[in-house]
Amino acid sequence: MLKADAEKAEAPEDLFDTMLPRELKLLILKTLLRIHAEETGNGRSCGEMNGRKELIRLSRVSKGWRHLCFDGQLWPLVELTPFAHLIHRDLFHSIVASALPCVRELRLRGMDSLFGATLAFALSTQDRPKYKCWELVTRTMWLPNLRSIDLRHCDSLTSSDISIIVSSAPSLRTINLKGVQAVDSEVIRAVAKSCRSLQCLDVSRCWKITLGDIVTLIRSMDAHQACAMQALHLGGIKSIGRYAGDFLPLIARCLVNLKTLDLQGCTYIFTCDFQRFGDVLDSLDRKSSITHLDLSGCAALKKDVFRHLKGRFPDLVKFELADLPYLFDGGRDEDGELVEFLRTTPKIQKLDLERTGERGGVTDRVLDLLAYGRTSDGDRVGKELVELRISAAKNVTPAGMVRVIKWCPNLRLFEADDTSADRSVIREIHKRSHTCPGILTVSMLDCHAITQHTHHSLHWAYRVRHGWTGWAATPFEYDTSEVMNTVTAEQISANVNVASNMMLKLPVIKTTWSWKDMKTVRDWRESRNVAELQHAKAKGLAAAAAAAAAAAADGGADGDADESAVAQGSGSGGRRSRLGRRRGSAASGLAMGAYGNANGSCTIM
Amino acid sequence: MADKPKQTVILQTSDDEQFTVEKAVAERSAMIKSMMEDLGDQEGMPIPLPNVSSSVLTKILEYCDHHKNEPLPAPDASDADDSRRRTSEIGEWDARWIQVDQEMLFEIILAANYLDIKPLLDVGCKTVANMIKGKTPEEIRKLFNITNDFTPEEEEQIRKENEWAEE
Repeated sequence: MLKADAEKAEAPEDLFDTMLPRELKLLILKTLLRIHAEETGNGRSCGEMNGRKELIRLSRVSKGWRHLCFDGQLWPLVELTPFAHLIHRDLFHSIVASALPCVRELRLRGMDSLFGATLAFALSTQDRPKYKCWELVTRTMWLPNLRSIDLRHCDSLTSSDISIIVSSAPSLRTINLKGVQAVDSEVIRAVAKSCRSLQCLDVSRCWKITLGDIVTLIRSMDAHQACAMQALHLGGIKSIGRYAGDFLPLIARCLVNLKTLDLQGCTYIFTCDFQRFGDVLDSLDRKSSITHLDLSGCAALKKDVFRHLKGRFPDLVKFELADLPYLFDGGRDEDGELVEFLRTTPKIQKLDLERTGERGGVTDRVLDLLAYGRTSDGDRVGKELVELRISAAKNVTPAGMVRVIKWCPNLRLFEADDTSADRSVIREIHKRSHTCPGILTVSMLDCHAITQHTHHSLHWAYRVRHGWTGWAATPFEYDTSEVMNTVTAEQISANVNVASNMMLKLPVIKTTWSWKDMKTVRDWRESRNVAELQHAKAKGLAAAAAAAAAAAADGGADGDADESAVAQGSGSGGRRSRLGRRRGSAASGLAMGAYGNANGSCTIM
Repeated sequence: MADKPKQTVILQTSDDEQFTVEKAVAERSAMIKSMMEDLGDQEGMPIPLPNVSSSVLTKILEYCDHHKNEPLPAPDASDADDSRRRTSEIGEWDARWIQVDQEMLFEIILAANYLDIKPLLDVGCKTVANMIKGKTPEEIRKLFNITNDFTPEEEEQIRKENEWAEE
């Protein structure tokens, strides 16, 4: 290089730009992205995102480089989520507008200040921005290569903005509009009109649409499109509307390849809808292809629903049925139908019954079925079970839990908060860790039979938390021995540290007592309170200082109940939580706010 | 090998110099390999390489000679497959071999692209990418002698937009 430097001094010439053709320059930048993608680290953004950031930085070198760095070949996926709140409108325009023909995925999650006009102008194929007028823009928008779009938290877009984008992208496979409040019937109509190979639609928590709109959408699908559908996320959607009752029967009839059906919190889905769903399947002599069914919070369902589900979901892998405390009415043999249903799902891996067993229904019979029950074909029901959540189940006994832990070899996550779990369960979990590979994570918070004494006498048998690495893990101060993810097989063989090896094999058990003892949590609480005081003083708000002092005193006194260090929402609400967030960051020296959730609500733990 | 005349091939560079090269070495270049296959048994017929100068070819033959016993990459391995297997590491020998001035480095990349020697092109691109990585725009300009052709106003505007990306 020295020689080169000497030569340059005589005749400085831009060899990179003059010698290499564009194609090779792009190859070099692609290699740069690849090098970044292979890196992992504890930075706020790492891997691919750092590569994109570097491209943006390099765009300042010269006009030629700017053109090069925003070439579509380098941006098949436009994702700027970690920087969403920092991206300037013009920069966004530069990237999207020049990369447009190649963009296949547009992930704009969290760009809440992005206005429809900015996005539309960037996406328009018209190349002379000076003459752009709205009507022309909307007519010339054409995104034939766009496969996937994610507009979560793009709160400045209107329903017609979204409709225009959807209408101009006929190849869309994935549309994620979860929680985008601008979504209304117009958007759904645009989807129905233009998309021909849609596979996944997420309109959860879009309050302006109803199941009736979805019925219209499914009705308008041709056979090809209906067969392509794989996932429908409709969490929380109301079903007021004339045709809402046709929703489930239509799914059974038309969406023959549907894998995921998410109806979380759809309180207008009734048992009789599933009856009709089953009738349609029977009349077509088919079973459902669904592998992931989410009925959590569908409060209108009664336990009879299992009678209609039974035998119709032979491929079910993930079944969510949480937050339904009134599903079971406490009668005799109330668990019978749930047991009979689960007997017909031999592939089940994840079962979520959190808070559903509050009044009974989730019993030892259910657990025993998972532990060693068999289907009518002789398959073991729970042989593939990976996750089980039975928090708040009133009628399960420690013996039942012990059997599940003992006989489900693939179990990795077991949540049994607020149950009768006791030390025999902890002992069984520890015993299991010697025979089963893989770490079992168990949550047993608020189990009254697990006392402080149990924790102190058995704490050698488990870890209290499952560490992880990355920028966002910094405030948790994980000990290296805790963070098992970073310890690879080679590292273990390289430095034979028996103590940390033992540590890595230990199961993770969260109990109220281990939680309380955690040093980081205590430190946090203290530093937050100190910072709150300082902040108030610095502002010269005497009154606020007094209030904060009182709050800090409260925090000290009843702080145990408030361990999560989440900015509190109660009482002085917004102000306090805002201050808390800032103080929190002051205290830990970290700007926590926007990682992965630029829209705000910063929950520190 | 020298006693088997079939095992060599003659390459003719842009400056009309002729190189007699072992076939196993020349085969590193997918382009020369397919040309040899096309030419068949026509002995002594030089293969013209109008885009490569003798100095660059000497350097590249050094690389090919060192790697001649490695298996050839599959001709139609898809890019995506490739990139997953490759790591950002450059082999020790390669790293030392590619310690050359910028002009030669770019010549090597151009020739590797023309001769279709995928692993060499990859080494070249990685070397340049590593030179670029982590530098500020100002350093990049200095590195490659690039003239900043933005007007001060434009520059200021872009600097403002990109402020967050420069750490």
